[in-house]
Amino acid sequence: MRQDWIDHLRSLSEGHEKQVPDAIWDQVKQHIPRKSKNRKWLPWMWLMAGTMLISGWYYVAFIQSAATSEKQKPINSIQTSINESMASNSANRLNDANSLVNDPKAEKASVDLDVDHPSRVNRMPNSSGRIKKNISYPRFETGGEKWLATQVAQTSIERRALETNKHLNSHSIREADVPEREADVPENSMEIAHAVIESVSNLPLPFSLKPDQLRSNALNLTYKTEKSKIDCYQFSDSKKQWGLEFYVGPTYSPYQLQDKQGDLKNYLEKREDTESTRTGLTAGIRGLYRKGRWTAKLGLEYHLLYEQLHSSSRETRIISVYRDGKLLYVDTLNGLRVVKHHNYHHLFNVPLMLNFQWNWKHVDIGLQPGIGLHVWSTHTGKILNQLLEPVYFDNVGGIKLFDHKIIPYLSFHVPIGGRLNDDWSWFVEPGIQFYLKPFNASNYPIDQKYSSYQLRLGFQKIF
Amino acid sequence: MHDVELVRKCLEGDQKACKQLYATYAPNMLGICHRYIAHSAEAEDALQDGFIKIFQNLHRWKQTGPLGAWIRKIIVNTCLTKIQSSGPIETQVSDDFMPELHVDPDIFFSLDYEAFEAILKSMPTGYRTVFNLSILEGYSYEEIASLLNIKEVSCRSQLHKAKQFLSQRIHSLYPHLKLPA
Repeated sequence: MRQDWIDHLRSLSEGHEKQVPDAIWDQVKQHIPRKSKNRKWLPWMWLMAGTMLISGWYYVAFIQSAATSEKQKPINSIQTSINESMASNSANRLNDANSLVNDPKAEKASVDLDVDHPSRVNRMPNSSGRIKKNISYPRFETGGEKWLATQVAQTSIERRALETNKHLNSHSIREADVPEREADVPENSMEIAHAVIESVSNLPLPFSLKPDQLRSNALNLTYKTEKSKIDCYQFSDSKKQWGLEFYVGPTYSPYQLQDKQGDLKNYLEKREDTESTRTGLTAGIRGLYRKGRWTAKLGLEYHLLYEQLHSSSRETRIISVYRDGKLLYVDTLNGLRVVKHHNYHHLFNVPLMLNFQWNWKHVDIGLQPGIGLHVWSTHTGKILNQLLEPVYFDNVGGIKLFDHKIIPYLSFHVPIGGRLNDDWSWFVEPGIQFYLKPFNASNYPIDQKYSSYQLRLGFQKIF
Repeated sequence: MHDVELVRKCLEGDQKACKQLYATYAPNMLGICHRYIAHSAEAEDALQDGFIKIFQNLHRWKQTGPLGAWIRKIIVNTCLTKIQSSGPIETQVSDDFMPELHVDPDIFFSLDYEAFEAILKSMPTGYRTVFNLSILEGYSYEEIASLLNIKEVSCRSQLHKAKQFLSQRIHSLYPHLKLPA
């Protein structure tokens, strides 16, 4: 019987149509998406980005380093020949140098540097087509200085030979290059070196670069391998490095509630009164690529947002008592209801940052703007619904409050750090992060936008 | 045109298909909105908001169920949001609002749609919402309690009172009909 009248009412109301005003369609059609939200391209884009990243890394790690080692080979060989020459003649030269440097009349000496290569630019070509360069420098007195001079001279000559070889390889040299390169060598070293050269100027110096000498590697003392950590001859700031960073730290992440429809002011105020932000957490790992003062960083980050719901309200409950399907009585209970609940938002982000760093005496300070993508999250907790009752995020007025969304964000940090040893550094990184879109589902009438103040403490490992 | 084909075209951005989908379902859905929301302008607002949601989330429709049922569910949810946004649903009405009456289901057979809708619109919001969800949509008390964020016992109470209200109104509108003793 009961089902009959229900069916009757349903059939009465079913299919009953109303005349729809045209204005509604005019409004609706403005909100129809132009194209479908087809995100099939998204995995391809990630794949492409990954491929580019790996290709870039491969290029920098292998191809470029291989090219660098190819360039260094002749340098090493030349140096070898120089060292060999120096070694073979060092005893004679030093012995003769003793007599020369002790000669008070000798105010200055000259040395001829001859390089046997047809393409070299001749600053002072002689009759044989070779380069002759005259250099005049003062000399020095003591035996200790002589020994030091020998060492430094060797270094200076090596360096000159290296530079010479660069010229030989490039086949294009500019006149203006010469004084610039000479300026790279410390003045004292140059003086000492040339004093020794001056002192041995009368000795036969086999300085020409012959192929059989280039093949020798008996006394290859300095540039032993391309991976040598001795980089004192690398006169460039643009050193490239790879590394990893690990960090963890507290965050404080307040959020802003915004009424989308403009008619929920009371509800919004009630939510603001009952919810409070607490200290959260962030932790992450990121890879870095450094060139000079610039560092690019890409990683994965966990971000915990923590809030509390705290409300107390007078509540009235109506209790209806039934017996055998018939209502016996309805009772009303009044009381104070206190609700405390912990709300957690677990976020996973992909940050991308660019750091510019100043190196001071003991501390490095940087500026680190960044962008990132919030890619996945879970949310657990309660808020008040519009009836001002605490409800779980999963069911607020029949909808799920938070949805899985990809949200872009901006960040700005000021990393301050120092070195622990050659490979490890520490850093402290205060900063701020703005999530550009609200985290809640689009059909919830209030937008919930987050910003986050952070202090990250971490370590950096350079490979 | 079949629903699947219609939706596919809508997703491709075909305005004609969108218009056709709207024209097919909007009149019926407006009838539903009027049953939930007493004020005509607000019912039309709910229809508009509901169809905006429908078109923006059309890619989420799973072809396992009928399109009409999916659209109806969104429209009903939009109506509920609209009702809740205008203030908390009254779950308490003083007992002297109407006399305690025994409800005989036979009385409902004497109704036509216009009279039924008029009575529905004159109901308090809580009664009307619970009555719609329970009797016309077929939701259980548990589901209604979850949708409206009220206690299940309140749903039962609201529905009982809604039926009493309905029978009382039928009697006052049609005095020639005899209420059962």
